[in-house]
Amino acid sequence: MKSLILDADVVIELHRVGIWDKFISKNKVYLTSTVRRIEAKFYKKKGESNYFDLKKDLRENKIIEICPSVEDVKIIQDKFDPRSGPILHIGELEAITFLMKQEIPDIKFCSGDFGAIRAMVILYIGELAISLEAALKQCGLVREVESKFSEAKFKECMEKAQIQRIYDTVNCSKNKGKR
Amino acid sequence: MVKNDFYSTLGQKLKNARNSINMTQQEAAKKAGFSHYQTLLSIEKGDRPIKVWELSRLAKIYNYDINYFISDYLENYQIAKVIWRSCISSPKIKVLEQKFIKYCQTYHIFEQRLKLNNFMLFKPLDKDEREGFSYIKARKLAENYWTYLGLGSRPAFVLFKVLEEKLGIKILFMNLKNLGSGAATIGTFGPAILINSSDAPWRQNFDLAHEFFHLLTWNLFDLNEVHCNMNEEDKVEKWANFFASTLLLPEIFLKEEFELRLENNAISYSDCIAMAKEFGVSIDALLWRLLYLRLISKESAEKALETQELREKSKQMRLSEWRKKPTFSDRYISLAFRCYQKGYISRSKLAEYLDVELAELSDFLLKKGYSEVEDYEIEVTNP
Repeated sequence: MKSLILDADVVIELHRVGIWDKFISKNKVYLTSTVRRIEAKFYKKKGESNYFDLKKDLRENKIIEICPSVEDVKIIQDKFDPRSGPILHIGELEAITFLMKQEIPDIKFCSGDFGAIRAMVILYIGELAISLEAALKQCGLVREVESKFSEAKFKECMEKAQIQRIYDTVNCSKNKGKR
Repeated sequence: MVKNDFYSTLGQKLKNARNSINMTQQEAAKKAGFSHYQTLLSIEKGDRPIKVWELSRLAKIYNYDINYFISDYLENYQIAKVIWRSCISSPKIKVLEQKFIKYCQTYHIFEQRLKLNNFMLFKPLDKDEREGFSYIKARKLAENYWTYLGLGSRPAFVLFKVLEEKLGIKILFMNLKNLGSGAATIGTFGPAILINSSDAPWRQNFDLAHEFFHLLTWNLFDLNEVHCNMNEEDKVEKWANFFASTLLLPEIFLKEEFELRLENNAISYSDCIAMAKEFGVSIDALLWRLLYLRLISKESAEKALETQELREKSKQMRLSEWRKKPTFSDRYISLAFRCYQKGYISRSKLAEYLDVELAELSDFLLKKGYSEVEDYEIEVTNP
């Protein structure tokens, strides 16, 4: 069983596609407190809002809620260049904080978000990210998901993020040289 | 238990944020879903470490960016004097004000990330211009800006876009109900204007021009004297209205339109309404301007302004102009989307900044003309 932290978008997509229950039975799923309590509430299908109940899954121990301290979250937030402004939603910051603490071996963050992937690359933990398509494949579930959750898109984001990091590093040292 | 400095500081920040919007501990605790307000009391004292999701809820209730509480660099953003127009004293004003400032900060974050600094082009008048400020100066100021901004024959219909694009003035709409018709501020994020989305569109146009005057003269007058406690003798307000009317109703084009409609040395009430509609202003603003330009007599202007029938007819004829104004301008949304496309903000952060639920983000963007699937990074290059 693989251990995965899911981004809010991924939780919503798994519900939309209708494989949430299967997915959480085949993986050890961790959700951050913000994703579980605030962000992931419903999905849209044919204009209708369909609500789901993560509280029930938590009660039945099908998912695990993680709640790193605000102090630890701040430590991670402070690692980003303040001039860049906030990149991540607090739920994603919680997830990355938990990852950085390395309390669960081999745990990965499942996200289809360029911003989140970019932030992980900045922190040199890009290898701890995984696409939803890859996560589905590794647990034997094959479903068509939105293109932003595909492995191809994920790789493209990862590549772009790595190029940007190199570019930022070069620019940063250039600026230092000017001073 | 030994107090942790981090949580003590954070608790104090939370307390200050709550006080800044005049909210009681009981109210805030109830809204955040705490079963006892003592929980919030302990958090504010730094006795109980706040959880991330609790902080997230409180930040939303207080209308603060959560990053204000977990990083130091947003701190000075909070200092911004906001001047309100026609405001009545209400605790709700503080809540709206904080929301306004939060949106301005966010707007500025997009500009910074995308290296846009057109708000630097906005220059308020120097303090020494205060000496001898008069109606003539207000008129000249309006005429100069009309020329500089290229506002053309119908300024009301382009002013919003021009102020945002050319001067980087952030313009936001919020439903202020009867609490006020507008507000202006200049902060580290640059100049910004707030307009009441529940007002009539022609009133909004006038308020925009009026607030623009306050931004331009920001350094000239005592800000505590501007707007609130407005009375008949308040010169600054009168200058602001005069500036707005000169800016929105350019003499040359107004005269041209007036002469086209003139028959037997008079124009009908229907034509007056049509003209007000044409220029995007209220019937009152139009009549006062025509009177100032000596195109109509004082008696006929006063008579028209007192006629209930004219107002009723105007209301009827202008029903089609009413449209629900969204909080964020096209520019705000466009900058937010660009930041998202470039990976400067995550999708969840984008939803937060656009005030929409994550599950509804795609639909929201599509309605605004943005598709998440399309690749906007494809470029055309210089020859």
